[in-house]
Amino acid sequence: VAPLEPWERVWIDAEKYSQDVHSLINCTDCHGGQAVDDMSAHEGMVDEPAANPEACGDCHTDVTPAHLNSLHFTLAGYDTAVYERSTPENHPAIENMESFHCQNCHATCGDCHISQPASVGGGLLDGHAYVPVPPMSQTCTACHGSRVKNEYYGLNEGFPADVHFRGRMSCVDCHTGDEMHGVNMTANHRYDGPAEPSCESCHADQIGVGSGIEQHEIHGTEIVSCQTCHSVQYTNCINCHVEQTADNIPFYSVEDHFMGFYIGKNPEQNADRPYRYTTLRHIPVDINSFSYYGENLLDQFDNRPTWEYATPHNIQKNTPQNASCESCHENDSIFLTADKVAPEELAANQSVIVEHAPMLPDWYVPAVVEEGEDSGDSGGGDDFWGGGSDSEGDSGGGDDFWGGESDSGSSDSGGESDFWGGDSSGGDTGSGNNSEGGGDADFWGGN
Amino acid sequence: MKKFRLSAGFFLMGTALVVGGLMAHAVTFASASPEACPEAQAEVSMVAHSSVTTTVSQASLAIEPSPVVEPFTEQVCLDCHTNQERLTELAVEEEVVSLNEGPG
Repeated sequence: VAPLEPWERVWIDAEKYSQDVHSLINCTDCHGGQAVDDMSAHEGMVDEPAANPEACGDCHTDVTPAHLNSLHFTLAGYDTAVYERSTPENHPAIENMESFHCQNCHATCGDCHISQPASVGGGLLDGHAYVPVPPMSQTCTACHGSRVKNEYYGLNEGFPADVHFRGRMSCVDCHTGDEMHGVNMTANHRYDGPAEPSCESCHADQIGVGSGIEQHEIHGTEIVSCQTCHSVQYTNCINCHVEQTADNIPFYSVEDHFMGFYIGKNPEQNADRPYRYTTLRHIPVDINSFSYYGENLLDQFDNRPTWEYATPHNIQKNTPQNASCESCHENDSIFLTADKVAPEELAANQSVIVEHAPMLPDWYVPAVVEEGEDSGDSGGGDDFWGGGSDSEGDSGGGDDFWGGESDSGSSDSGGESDFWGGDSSGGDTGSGNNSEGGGDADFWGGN
Repeated sequence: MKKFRLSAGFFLMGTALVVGGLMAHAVTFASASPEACPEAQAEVSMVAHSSVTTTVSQASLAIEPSPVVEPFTEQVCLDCHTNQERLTELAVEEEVVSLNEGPG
């Protein structure tokens, strides 16, 4: 998201804001400060009133109480993952660390409905008007940028955008308001409780036995998760740790990242996610990640895998691993075997490491491949990309993707203003996985 | 010509039916006066009672301050924050200390 100019961040669109019911409330009722015509007006002012739950909760009694327990507000997911690797006596030091490095990810009502999140520089979304449906690029993927955004938009070089993105679905088409607000949820981690959203919500008739799809009939619903067969390579990060500037200001830094696709044993296997195998992503934790704040804070590092259950947002119909049975069976290269795990993390990942890829069944007879026929490699053939696209992995230039004419180099999304959250005329989402992201500033959160 | 006469005839008949219907409705409403049945009389008396109450309370409200939402009094804030030129002049880039870096 391109940062807003300083004046844009605080500019109120008089016309739009006058239509907003919140304009009936005095500025100082929410923001404090003084209603005077000089800079002393800002003395004692509250930049972000929504940080105080009462500011919205006084009127919005249906949503605010739930939101106070949502993962977006509590960041309990971080605590769950970090505390499990630690002991209670280290928690105060970890909380101190979180106050500097995690709390700017915490989302208030205003972070989605009034302004851009503080983590991307803030600034009013739409001239201070309340935005009922948060615009995807300015809010959701502004925070969920390095993994979800790149996967979903097709910004990882060589890999297409998620099939749902190409179908013009934005985040809220799957992630409902109730889910975002934490209504009827008491999760301490995003994989607590039933999968929400789930593939079954839309694809119930295509899943498992009775679907009529050969691979689904064979694998049922308890062997592999949907993403195991339908996602492609995703970002894995290494060694997030707190460093300090020359002025002793701490900041966190991720050492490196790499693209990869790894199937491992399901660390979250339960009635809601019964699959034996699923995709695993390396998360950037390291035993010394927080040593700036204290020695050996992650003293129970081996309690939780560093290769975690992953739901990559780059779903494709056809992928290298579902091209043929041999793509997975007896193919150790796409499984998380011990040789792919760092020696110092082997103990933590024992529960997810796979010794060998599953064998092909005795009755299996390999398909006869005619000379010249695609043997199902992981290249960029039509099969891999779901048909209709060129072999360079273009994320959407073909007519098939968009249902109309578009030039072959760019994935024109059609320019619908409501989809992108602003007045977009071009809607170029980037040419074929080009990480530059195309030229439509509005798409990335500008005007 | 015959068709035209036929259409005109239907038009006149239709108009007569609509007007007749409206007149019948008017007669029905007129005959449904309070005197027509005791239940209706009771209803009217209740309505009359509440009308009186409303009149009294409205009279008392006329003396007291109106309980409507107070008008927006902070135009001075909006005068500045809707003025792009003034904001461009006054808003300055904050010095941001990055608390994170890297692809994560």
